[in-house]
Amino acid sequence: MGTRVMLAVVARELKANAKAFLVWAVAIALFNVAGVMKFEGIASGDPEAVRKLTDAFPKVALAVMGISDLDMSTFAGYYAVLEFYAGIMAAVYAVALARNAVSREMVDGTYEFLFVRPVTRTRILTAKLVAALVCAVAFVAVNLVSSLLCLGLLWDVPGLSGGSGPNPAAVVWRFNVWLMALLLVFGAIGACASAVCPSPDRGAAIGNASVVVAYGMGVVYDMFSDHEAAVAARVLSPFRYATPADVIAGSVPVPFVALAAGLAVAGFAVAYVAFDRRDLVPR
Amino acid sequence: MESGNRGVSCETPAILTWHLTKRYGKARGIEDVNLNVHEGEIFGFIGPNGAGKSTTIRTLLGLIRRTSGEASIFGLDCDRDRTHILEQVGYLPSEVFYYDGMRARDLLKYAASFYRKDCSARIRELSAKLGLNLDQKVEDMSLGNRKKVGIVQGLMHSPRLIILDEPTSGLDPLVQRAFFDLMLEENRRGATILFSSHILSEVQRICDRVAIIREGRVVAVRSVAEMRRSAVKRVTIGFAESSTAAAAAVRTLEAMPGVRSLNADAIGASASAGSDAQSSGGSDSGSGAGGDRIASGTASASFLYEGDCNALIAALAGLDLADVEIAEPTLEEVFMHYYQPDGDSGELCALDARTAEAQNRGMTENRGAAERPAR
Repeated sequence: MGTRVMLAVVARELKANAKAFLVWAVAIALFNVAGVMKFEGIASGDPEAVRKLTDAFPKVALAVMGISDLDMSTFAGYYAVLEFYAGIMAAVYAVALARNAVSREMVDGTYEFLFVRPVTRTRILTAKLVAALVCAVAFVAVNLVSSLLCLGLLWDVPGLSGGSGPNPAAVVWRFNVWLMALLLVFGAIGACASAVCPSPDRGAAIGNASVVVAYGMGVVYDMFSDHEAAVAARVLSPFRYATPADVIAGSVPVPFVALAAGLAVAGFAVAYVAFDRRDLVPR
Repeated sequence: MESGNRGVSCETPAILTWHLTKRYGKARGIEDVNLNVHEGEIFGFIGPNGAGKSTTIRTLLGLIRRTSGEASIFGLDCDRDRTHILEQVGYLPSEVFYYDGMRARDLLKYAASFYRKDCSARIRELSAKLGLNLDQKVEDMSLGNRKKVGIVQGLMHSPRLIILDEPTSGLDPLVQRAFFDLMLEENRRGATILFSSHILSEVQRICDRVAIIREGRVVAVRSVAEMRRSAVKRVTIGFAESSTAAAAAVRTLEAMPGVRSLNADAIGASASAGSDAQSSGGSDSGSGAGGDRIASGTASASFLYEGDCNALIAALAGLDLADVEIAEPTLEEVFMHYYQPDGDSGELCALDARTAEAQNRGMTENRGAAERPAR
């Protein structure tokens, strides 16, 4: 009976998540189509001119736009910038998913319906997080498929196929793995904040603040030419646990991947404990 | 807090709380709530909004965590054995919120999926009884119909304990009647019912016993029948001339044990005198409600009396009265007495203790009151 109940909650939760998911999926797909297709324009121009253009920007501006250290004239460099923005969207979506999993029933008043059933809170939260995970995976899938489809349309663009550098499709895959990891880390942060804070608004605000801080620290990290000096900023920015260069090359920065895994595990663990102990009250 | 009319048995109580306390940050929770609801009983839980009824219920259901004390249902701890308890509990919250876009049928199916039993027959039966259209979306329903959905989801698994938080708000009288019939039917089936309300008449209608909660504390537990029938009387007296005789009479009554909620009308001097007489063994004056107004030039006084009727008659015999009326107080009046916000809490506690004792001894122990007849 345990799994049947869980499935019912998951199904219910997926239905509740569906509308927001559609909006996010359409947004990310359009973003990819517009973004990846624009590469055609860049690639058909003079790569040298593109490099000159980006070099003309001050370092701060490049960092703010997420273009530091990237060669925009290559597909990998260009896609890295696109995915930086996709990553920010993913982080915001992850926080929203986690917040909904933890506190939607309290906000909607339905908690007095659900949490008086003979099921533990832990099971209910698990079912809800599974539903959130399904949405997160689907979000990445939409991003991956739309990117690969657009890439397929770009096959005749010079300098894309053949040439040196990594295989563009592999780059797309790697960035989507990175995106999935980001969703997990920010999902954990969001779940933790929502479970610990008595007020759902405060929980969501803290979750979103973590995205802003991570972005800001990412900019700080990018601004330093000597990245070793800015390792503190990197620790605070999950966006830079794996740098774009790491992702393009497919290399795994072990300490930071471990840090990400630790954050995700700790975040969800604290969320479970806090959710089990908290008072379920209307908001 | 055993009820006298049911006989003390050794079976596990349906609900047992012991010094149950819940404190929130700023908001008032509940303090030292002691309840003992017997299996098979319809137990009323009455108090004004914000007194702690919902807090108590939510603590019992494990929605909120108690600060201290104990709470158990059918002998199982409300926190540790939560899921086992909830298998046997049906709950109707005071406000029913449901998921968007769900038809009543889907919602009830969802609720039923949490229980081991097959609830579909019960769902059909209950909705037929209440006249509920299962194909309507819950969000399109009137408040009354939503409540019906709430009733069905609370009863569909034939729970041993039914907890109702303000169940009748928003129900029209016809549906209320059907609802009460349904509750009595469930009770006959053997279900225990905890019924929270701020409306006395409906508690009076179906409950065996009632706990009165006020500012987070249970101030009394009584049987409903006894509450109305007990020695508490509403006494209204009229004086021919409004002068000194009336004032003297009021002073006499104030000093008399068992006299409460004394309201004197058109007796200027004694109205203020009454306010500092609170410690005089039970009198409790000046709630501001005012007694019944009789023709001008006369005065009247009205009070609740609890105790030996001979002492009351003796006291009244010594007064020069134009009119007297001794009536059974309404439950509302009894209740208002327990819930006077500025009432002396020491007195209430004493009263509570006395009440508990009285329940065992059949309300005869107030003899002490008779030892001081009117002067």
